[in-house]
Amino acid sequence: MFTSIEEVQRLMEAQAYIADRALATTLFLAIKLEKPIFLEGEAGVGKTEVAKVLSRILQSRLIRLQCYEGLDANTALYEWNYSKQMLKIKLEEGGGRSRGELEHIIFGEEFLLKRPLLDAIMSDGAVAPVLLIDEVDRSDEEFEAFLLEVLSDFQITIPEIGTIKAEQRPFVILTSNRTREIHDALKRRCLYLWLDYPTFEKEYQIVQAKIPGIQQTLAEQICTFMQKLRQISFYKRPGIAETLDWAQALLHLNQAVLVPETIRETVGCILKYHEDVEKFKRDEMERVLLEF
Amino acid sequence: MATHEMAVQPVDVNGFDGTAQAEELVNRVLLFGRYLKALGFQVTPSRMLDVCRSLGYMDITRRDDFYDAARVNLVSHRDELPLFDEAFKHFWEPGSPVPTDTCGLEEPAPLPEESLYEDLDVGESEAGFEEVTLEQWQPGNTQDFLSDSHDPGWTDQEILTSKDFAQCDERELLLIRRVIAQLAPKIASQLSRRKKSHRRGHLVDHRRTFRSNLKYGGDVLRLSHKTRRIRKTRLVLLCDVSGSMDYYSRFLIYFLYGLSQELKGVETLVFSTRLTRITDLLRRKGLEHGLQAIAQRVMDWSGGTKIGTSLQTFNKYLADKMLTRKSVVIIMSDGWDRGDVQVLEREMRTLKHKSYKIIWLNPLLGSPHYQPLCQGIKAVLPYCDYFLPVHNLESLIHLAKTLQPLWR
Repeated sequence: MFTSIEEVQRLMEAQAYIADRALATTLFLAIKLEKPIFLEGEAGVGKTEVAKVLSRILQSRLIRLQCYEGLDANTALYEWNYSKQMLKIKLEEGGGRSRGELEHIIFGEEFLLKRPLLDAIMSDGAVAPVLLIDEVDRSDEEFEAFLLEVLSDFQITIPEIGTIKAEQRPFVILTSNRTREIHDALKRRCLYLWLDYPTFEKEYQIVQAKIPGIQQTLAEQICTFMQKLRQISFYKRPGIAETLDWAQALLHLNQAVLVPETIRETVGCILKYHEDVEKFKRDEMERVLLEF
Repeated sequence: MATHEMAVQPVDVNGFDGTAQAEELVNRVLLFGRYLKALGFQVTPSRMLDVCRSLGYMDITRRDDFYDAARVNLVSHRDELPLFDEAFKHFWEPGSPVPTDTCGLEEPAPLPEESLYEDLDVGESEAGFEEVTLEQWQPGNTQDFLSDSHDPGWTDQEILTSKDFAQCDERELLLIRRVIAQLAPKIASQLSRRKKSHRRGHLVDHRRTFRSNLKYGGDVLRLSHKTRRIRKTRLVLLCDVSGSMDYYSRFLIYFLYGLSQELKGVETLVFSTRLTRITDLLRRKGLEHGLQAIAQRVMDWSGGTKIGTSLQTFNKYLADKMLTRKSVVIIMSDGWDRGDVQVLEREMRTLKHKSYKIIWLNPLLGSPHYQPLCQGIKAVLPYCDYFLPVHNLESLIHLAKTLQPLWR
């Protein structure tokens, strides 16, 4: 599939994702070793995007499982289409089928609602799908244990049908915002990568790649500003997603350079908590601008 | 997922023609694994196997690639990254003394988890406080410390004359334990978002309904129900042991001890100017020995109060490990904060985000004339789910009653 780390890096860049070598190496190894990747990092540093880009590069399907508290095996794996089953039974009434036959029909694949995990396991495309298990830290420990089981052999058992095993292993990417620690057992089975906020150079490249029409000076100013902003202790520090939003907003406002007035008006693009905005306007803005 | 049964791929290392060289390299990598293991990393055979397999796919003359490959395979915590960097440098640096065996690291020297938390020393200790005053409230030595207690800025005869826990004895400890035994399950269970089937549940359980009605030929004659499950809560207790709380120390320690004995997985920390974890000491059987050990560990008993900085320490270093969104945090303090109120407010907000509920137990609320006027309390009130008194047995019983209906 891929022959070198450089190739991965190049292909990602072609998809407008600026990946540093560590990330490219991780993706490369994950595919070679057939191991899931566990991406951890602050919100908005491009974790989810990695999965999207990978699926575009491989030209395979992206299957996404968004985790939340209370997510259980049924919602993640499969559910029977009960109403359709009921209807089928009604329609078959007096049809002369035996009980056993009917049961076989209504517990067939036609009546199975595939949820993301089963979908990924049963996928039969030319290339294995990319399975994104997003924000796994939002699910609870029970689900983590279940995930561990599924990820270790990609095989599940549905009592009515039997055991289903994946013909090709999906490429799995798990992400976490680290609102809680994920159990080591799960992480040990993955390649672990911590995605940090980008350096100035990387962020500048990202802005250039993602927002083609942007002026060089403005892009530079935006990135410098964001780098400075991240050194201040906010409740939620802005990520790359915020940088891009903001750059886009400034572009639409036809701004060529950063001026305090516009920063004040558009600060909602970069700081998302009222307290942070207040703090910024009150104490920090002038200091950041002075250093400019 | 690498398993032990997985066939080892022959390591075809680019740039090495002789198998002897490749073998030597693999040996060296395995040695590196043992070195990391001795440093406390979670190195398992299957992980080492994956590191070796990785080598086969890459140009190992590129040091940074090899570094990345080893790191993504062997590190699984952000906190481990700096240590890994150091270890990698030390082990693979050409100039550095090359460890040929495990360099005397046969006896692993990772920090036991307990000791990690013990000496979190943030916030300068205030000069002048007594080293340890715990002996004062060993049983049988209770007379003098009432008069010693720092007056926090209010006096109330009624408190002093009512039965207080300064004179608590074995019998009363037993009573407290009994009340806590009733209280504990109430604090420690909450409604889960997961469901379980239940005869009188308010939600229809489709899966079950369908199954059970198959025998009627697909007509729905009987509905099965489900309801939200009750789950166990993790408790984190943060107890103020500063001078202003002296009066209640004995009772609070009993309370902490009782909860720790009654419930599994309770984390207990005490603070005045700095934060000390005493979870392990309270799990021991028998309070007497525990008390002595606590006295030895907690260096700032009856010191000043810096709730804000103590919470900051907690949020920064421990919250991610100790808290899940299911956690209930119980803070026991009178709110007389000598630190910066803004810090306190900010840290309470963070704590609120990281936990499920915050219960603030304030002994001063026991006084009928008490009003939450001091700045500290004003700052924290918006972030507390419950603000309740706790100062004697009666208040404890009351607490159990209050929490019951509110909880679900």
